[in-house]
Amino acid sequence: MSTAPSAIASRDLDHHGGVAEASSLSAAWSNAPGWRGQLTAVNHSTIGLRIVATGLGFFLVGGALAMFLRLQLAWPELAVLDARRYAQFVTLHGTTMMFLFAVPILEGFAMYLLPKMLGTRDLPFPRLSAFGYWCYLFGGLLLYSSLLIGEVPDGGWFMYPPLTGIRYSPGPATDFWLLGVTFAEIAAVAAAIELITAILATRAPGMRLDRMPLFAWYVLVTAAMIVFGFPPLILGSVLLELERAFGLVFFDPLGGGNPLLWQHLFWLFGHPEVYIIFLPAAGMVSTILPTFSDRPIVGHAWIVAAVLAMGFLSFGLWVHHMFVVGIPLIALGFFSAASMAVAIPTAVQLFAWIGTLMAGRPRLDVPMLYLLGFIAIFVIGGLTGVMLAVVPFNWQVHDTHFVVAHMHYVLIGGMLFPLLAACYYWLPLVSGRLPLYASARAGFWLVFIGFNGTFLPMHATGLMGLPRRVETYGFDLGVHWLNLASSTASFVLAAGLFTVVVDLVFSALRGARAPQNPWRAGTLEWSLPAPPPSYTFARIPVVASREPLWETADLKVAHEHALPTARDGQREILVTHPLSARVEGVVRLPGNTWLPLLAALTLAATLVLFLAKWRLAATIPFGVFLVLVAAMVWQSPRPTSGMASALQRGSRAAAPAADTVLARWGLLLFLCADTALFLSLLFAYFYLWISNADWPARDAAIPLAWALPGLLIPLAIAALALVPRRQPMTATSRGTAVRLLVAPAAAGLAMFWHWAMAAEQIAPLHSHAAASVSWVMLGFVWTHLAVGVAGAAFIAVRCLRHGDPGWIEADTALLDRWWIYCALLAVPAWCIVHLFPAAG
Amino acid sequence: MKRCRTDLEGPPATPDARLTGKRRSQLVRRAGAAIFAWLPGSAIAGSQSVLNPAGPSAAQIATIWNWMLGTSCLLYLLVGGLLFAAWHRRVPASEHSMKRLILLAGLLMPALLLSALVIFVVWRQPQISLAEVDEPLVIDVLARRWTWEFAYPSRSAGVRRLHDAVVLPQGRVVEFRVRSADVIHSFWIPRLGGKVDAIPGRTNRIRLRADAADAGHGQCAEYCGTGHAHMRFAVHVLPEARFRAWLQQDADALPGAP
Repeated sequence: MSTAPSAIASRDLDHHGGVAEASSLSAAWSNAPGWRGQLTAVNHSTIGLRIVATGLGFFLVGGALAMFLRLQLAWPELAVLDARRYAQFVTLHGTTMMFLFAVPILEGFAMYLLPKMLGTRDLPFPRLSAFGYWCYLFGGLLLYSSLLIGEVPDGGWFMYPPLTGIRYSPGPATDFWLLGVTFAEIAAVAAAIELITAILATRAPGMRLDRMPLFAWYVLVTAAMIVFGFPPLILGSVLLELERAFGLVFFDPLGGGNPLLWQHLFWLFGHPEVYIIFLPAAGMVSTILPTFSDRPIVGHAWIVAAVLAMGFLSFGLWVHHMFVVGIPLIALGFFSAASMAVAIPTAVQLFAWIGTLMAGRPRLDVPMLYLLGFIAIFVIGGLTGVMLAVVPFNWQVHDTHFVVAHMHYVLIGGMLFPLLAACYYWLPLVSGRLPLYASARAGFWLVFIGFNGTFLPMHATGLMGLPRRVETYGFDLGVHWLNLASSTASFVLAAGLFTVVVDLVFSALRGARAPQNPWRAGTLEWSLPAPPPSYTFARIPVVASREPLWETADLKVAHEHALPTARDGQREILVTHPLSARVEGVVRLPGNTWLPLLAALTLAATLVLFLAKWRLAATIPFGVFLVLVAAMVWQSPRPTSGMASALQRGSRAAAPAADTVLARWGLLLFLCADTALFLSLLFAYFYLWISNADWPARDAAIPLAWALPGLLIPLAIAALALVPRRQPMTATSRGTAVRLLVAPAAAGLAMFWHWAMAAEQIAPLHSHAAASVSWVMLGFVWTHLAVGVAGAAFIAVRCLRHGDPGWIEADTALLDRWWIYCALLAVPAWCIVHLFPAAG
Repeated sequence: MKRCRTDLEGPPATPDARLTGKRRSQLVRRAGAAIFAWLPGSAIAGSQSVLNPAGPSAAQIATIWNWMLGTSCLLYLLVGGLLFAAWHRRVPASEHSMKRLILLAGLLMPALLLSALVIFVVWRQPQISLAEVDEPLVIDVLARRWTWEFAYPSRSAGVRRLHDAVVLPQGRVVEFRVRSADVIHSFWIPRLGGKVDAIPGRTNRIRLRADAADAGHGQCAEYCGTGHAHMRFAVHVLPEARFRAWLQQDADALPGAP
């Protein structure tokens, strides 16, 4: 079981596999040399490490902000920060830690590690990874650029309107937050789509779902939660920005809106967010802890079930952030029970970890030290979490420092400690060097003692009545000594974190050379040389167990699918079946390119111009952005014509080409996120309607039959797309012509009809929340129809340029799916505009 | 488990050089336990202390807290003991027994404890919500950046209004009808009970009763702009007869004011 591999497969392979093969791989997979290579890189190792480094940078900035907050709170009536500055720092601290540190850095780790753990060479959409990174970086810089012009967001990290509405926050500060954070969230969703596709479709041959490493399970669930959990906040941000910039009504009660809608949308995201942060970190624990126990994890199936349960439950808990907004007690009871229930899968994982330690022979290396610190802190956070789920207790401590304490116990304990464990654990893989033990331990104790000294007293100050987000307090509360202790300890914590960062950098540069697989781990990434080459595996391995490096001394390679050389100098990976990991084909990936950076730059320019209120000018870079996206699709490696050849062989059940498998996963997951966005919009409509007693009745200006084409045309296009294909698609076939000419024309007609009828049926945009939300819903459908038209035009141009049947097949198959999805959107939107009470 | 206990009570009989790291962690844990033990006793003072109840709602919630705190400490000791055992047992435990641990401690124990907690809270809820009391005294609360306005509509000769101070009858249930004139605020008198948000466009209700003669201060608990920290109000409690006399007197003066 715990036999460490004596011979390391890929190194051996490099020896007898031939230098020529390795150099051909290296030539195909490496970044371009110099600074240009850094800007055009798409390789997952480069992007992943870069996200981790950027995340650490934002962490240090967010931490420095917190030190000012602690200085201000050290004693009553201090004047380190005035009230406005304090609010700005609180907002930036929370926003940075949540959106620019915790989520991205964990995704960065996952992007760096997963291909190596799963036995593949790269992530499936490398240019998307690069684009996501630039979006994240520019989003963060955009947010922080608010400091330069002195208009810093100050509404708290959850930005409740009406305080953040145009009346009470007239400057651009809130817009910086809304645009910057949304920009960074796009990156998070893009990374999530990519990670899910990687986990489901590119695992090494033989790595069946039940042999997949636990870390991949955790990331899979987390990424799915991002796909469904981020869209509500994206929608909320878009609606708030529409209200602020264009005067639509969603949250202002004077125009029929409801400020609580924001809270629902925010916490629909915000609660899953907590688990989005915790789960990958817990995945690190479940990966690291068995290694230092010298045995596989106890209760593998229990853990997988617990992670799935947490993923589902976390979407039913959001109201526990809203126990004091005046929701009836009976409804609170439901959310209270659900919030408590989530303690059960957490406890299952905790006792699986403890059981693994008890059933193994635990070693106290540096990563393990951090895991013990994690358990010691996180258990307290979990227990106070259950307390907060108790409705009456929550009524007392909601929005006090007790919540601040709980949140930091959960997030620092549950995320930062495992993250630091992971930094030390994978340091030998990334740098080829071991941690420097003395300073790593000293850093740990400073962090551990400093953390508890800072946040344990906050439980008490909260119970003694100190609300959160106050910049000062009176002596009559009796919390001044506790606050002084807390502030003092926060400097110990800061010194500890500084020690850890310096130690990590020094270890990476000057630490002792690490032997291969120094911790005697079982997962595939440790079979790689350190640091791993750009192409990761010299030959793609075949996996027959959960801990391949423990079960066999020698890693097996997939003989016919080992991809030992880069054919045509192209990057290639294997596509395997989602369940059985049977090989389904070889896919070519795009190489280094400027396009992701340029696309992110034009998008950033769009947002900056929008912020500067040059809204018409903002359309120019946005147009360039669309062109760049089209260019990226245009440059994609040519698909092998799978369906066409299968059809020619006379098989009806055509197996799609491997590369369309990836594209279809990507589209499906994008549509999942898009559906979540649309469902959030439907939720907004019904919530506003139900919570408003004076919702205007529908004005039946035109007979229903007149409006019907708006519904029937999208359905007809979808029906057209559903007709099975009898012949392979070529540039001149009738199926192609119908798809590229008739369908887009019909979609255009549908958009016009919608608009004409809606103008009769719905009141003007700004008149009432009912009108605003109806128009936004129509706009949502139109955007999708317009994307379909643009897609058809793109395919038509590609047909004219080179009528490659493989491309036409793949493109039109995706387009068909898009039209079907559009019809699914059009039905509820049409019903809401023409059947339900809209604006009068 | 056993060794862990003796360790907490006093220094180990034989000094063990290898254990310094662990002893330090136990020191930290002990300090944590001391703070938790000190909390219920010493945090009783303070004008906004949740654990210094002046009425039935706050008292019930404080009781719930004490029970949860005690149970949590025991659970924490259980986890600590198991971790201690993991490092100090000579023979690793069997996988079978550890799976039973997951079932018992990970699944059944939390399910039972959480059920008990729910039952306990539901049992105490009526004394917290005070929903069954007929004809409470109604006070309209209007939050506005950054001041509190309290109005007494039950007064026979015109509505009495107070700013940043509220006068309550001792021993009588009061229903606060909380509204906001601008952004979201939160109405909270910690020594009497929980808080409720003041949200523009809606009226929220909360019932509280002051039994003690001193109920400390109230404070806004939802961030509402730069004046948030200073959006506090005094709470005066008068015996029922004096309260009635105060309510009917002519000037809008606080009791005791000249």
